[in-house]
Amino acid sequence: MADDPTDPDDRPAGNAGLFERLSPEGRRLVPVTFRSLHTSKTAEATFLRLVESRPYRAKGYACSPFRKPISKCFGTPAGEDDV
Amino acid sequence: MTSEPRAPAERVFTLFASCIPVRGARRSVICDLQRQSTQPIPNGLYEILTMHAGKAVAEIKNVYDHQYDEEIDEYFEFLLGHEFGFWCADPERFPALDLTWEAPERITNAILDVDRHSDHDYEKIFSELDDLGCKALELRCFEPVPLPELRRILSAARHGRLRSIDLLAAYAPELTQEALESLASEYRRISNIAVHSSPEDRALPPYRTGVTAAYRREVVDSPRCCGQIHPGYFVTNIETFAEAQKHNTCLNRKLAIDARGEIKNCPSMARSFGNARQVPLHSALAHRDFAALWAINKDQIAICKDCEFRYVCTDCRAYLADAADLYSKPSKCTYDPYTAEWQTPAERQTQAAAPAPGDAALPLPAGILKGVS
Amino acid sequence: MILILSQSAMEPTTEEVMDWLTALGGRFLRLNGEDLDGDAALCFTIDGAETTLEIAADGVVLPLAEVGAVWFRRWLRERRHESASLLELPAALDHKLYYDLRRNLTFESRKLSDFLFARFAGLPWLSHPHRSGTTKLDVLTRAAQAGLDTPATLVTTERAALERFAARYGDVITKPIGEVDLFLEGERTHFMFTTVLGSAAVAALPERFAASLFQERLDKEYELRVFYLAGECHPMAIFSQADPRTQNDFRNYNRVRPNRMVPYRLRTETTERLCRLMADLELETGSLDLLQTRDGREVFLEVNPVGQFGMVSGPCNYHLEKKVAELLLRKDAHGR
Repeated sequence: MADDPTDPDDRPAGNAGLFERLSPEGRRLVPVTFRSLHTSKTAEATFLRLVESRPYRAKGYACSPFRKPISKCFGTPAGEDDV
Repeated sequence: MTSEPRAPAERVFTLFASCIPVRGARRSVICDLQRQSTQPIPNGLYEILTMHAGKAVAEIKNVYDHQYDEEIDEYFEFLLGHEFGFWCADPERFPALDLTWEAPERITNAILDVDRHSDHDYEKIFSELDDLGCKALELRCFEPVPLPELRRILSAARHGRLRSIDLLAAYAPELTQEALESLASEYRRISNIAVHSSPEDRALPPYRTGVTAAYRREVVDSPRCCGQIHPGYFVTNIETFAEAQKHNTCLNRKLAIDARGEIKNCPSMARSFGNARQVPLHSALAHRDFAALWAINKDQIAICKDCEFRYVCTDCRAYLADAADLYSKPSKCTYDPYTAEWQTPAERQTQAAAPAPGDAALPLPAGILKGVS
Repeated sequence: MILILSQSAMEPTTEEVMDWLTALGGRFLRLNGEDLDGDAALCFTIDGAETTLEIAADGVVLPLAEVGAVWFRRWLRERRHESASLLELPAALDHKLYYDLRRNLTFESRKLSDFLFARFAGLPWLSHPHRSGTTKLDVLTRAAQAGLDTPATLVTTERAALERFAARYGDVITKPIGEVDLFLEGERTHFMFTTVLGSAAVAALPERFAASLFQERLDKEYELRVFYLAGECHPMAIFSQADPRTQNDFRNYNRVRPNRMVPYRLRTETTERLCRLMADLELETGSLDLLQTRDGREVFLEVNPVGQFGMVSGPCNYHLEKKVAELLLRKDAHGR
């Protein structure tokens, strides 16, 4: 899973981590946690469906599918031919 | 849970609370409410998981006079492999899931039907649905609705509390793949678009926002198409499973407005509680009969009450095996819980629950089915 | 009327509690951090003994005078100046100047928020911004005093001290004294996860380093996430050990086979001690992290005073959103 943002093993090859790029002074000033930062490809932004919702006074109201089918009009599951 | 297939000393097998066994007439299922799958199991295993829950493996083997020791070991390996449970040192720390269902919304979901003669006051309908807290809408267009009109309808639903719109559209050449994609990006409340009466069956790759869209050959030209029962419409999640304990998961807190504007429990039903042009939705909802069908759960329905899918199936109260009996099975359901078979081959194919991704299909030991239950 | 302090984006929990307040017949007003960061029109005047505060949003003056209780849910995630280009000439970018400008504006904005919070000082609150910034080491100290099992902990600048600690406890972990953080750098992100230090890693450290936090590595059976709400604990167990990806930190989770998250029953004495700790910290809400070890210890790790409760409420079906709404209504009834 090379694109898993949480995989610590996919440091870009030949590219030192953040700690290695700190100045000698910087290395002295940061706590030990900085020696083992996990570097990975920045996760592709999750594309949330954000809308405005006036009743909630929200500009980034997150939309998501309902948890169950509302009606059931098709005799076969969706996309069966393609999956 | 970890790598040991055999029970460590002093531990008993415990199902995760979100994995709930449900017994059917011929077989049972484990409903995995967290990972959203339904796994068939033999009734013998159901018995082990319920009647003998909390017993050490040795004790369980003893109960069956050591006739099925190998099968019982296989069962536990199977359950561990699917991560349905774990070897637990402290079972009393792991209570069952509370299956109380409650929701703050007076109406959780709504259907709005549209055909070429429809004359809805969309602003009024959406604003009244919003006052009832409605979060999910299905907009069903039985006949082609020109794109500008579709946009006008969807615009009326902006700014409210809706968090999901399922759009069912009738095919027209202007409904190109690009047109669907731009609809979904303009109206971000849209979760799913299905285009019926299309020249071909084609599911589009999901958009980056997770929205799904598909062209479907099937014709959906009236509410009479609704009420289909098959595994594609089963849902295995906590909220719906909990709701199913005491409510009808199709009709509970649903409100429908048919193509003529009649306010109903469901557009397939005859009874109207008034026309949305004249009657405010909350008045229709206040009618003493409006919620009468909401409490018919699957445990009250003939045949369904013996079906292992009863808490994941979303039922239908409009098309019944016996039109005179409100408690008869949905007429469009072809599953027979007494034989555990679907009537049509197509449906039989889909009944095998898809294994979790990255999970090699595990063999289901069936040997025990004969003797134990 | 309940004043909900929140933020304007991605707050489904705020919205669910609002729905419950509506369902239970309550009145409320949502004020987002962004309202004080440019979204709303603000007028505050002191004229002799007379003070008035007026906040108008969407063309409506918010009825702040009717507020009877306050819920501090969230506030500003990011202030607008923090991502803005403040200087006209990016070519002449001066890091020090940039940094000083931002620091000043952030300080200014904080003080404005503090002033708003102070306006409601006399009312009952649920969570308070002034108590939302707990200090991990202080909390651990108090937890130990409350009788909770806590991990052996060392904060030091000396490798020799760390070596003695490691000699006693074997592998140790290191984590920030403050909060875990991440650094975005274009294509790459640098994450700060709880990390195990073996003896080789310890030996490779310089003799003296910046003060760092070390703890014994606990052999985890499962994690516990407890949402504490006004005297009640709502615990959930998280089974993350099966998946090597999440062995040391469950935030490192796997989306394909999510960790098992199930309701849990704490030992009575643990519940009592957690309640004592929360009382000591003067916290009415909080998300508590504990860990169950393979040898049967129930070890307290930390508390997040405004922690998420949706992630406990959903998988365990605890209806915490409703419980929060009910508590707010009780506070509102007292505040008036």
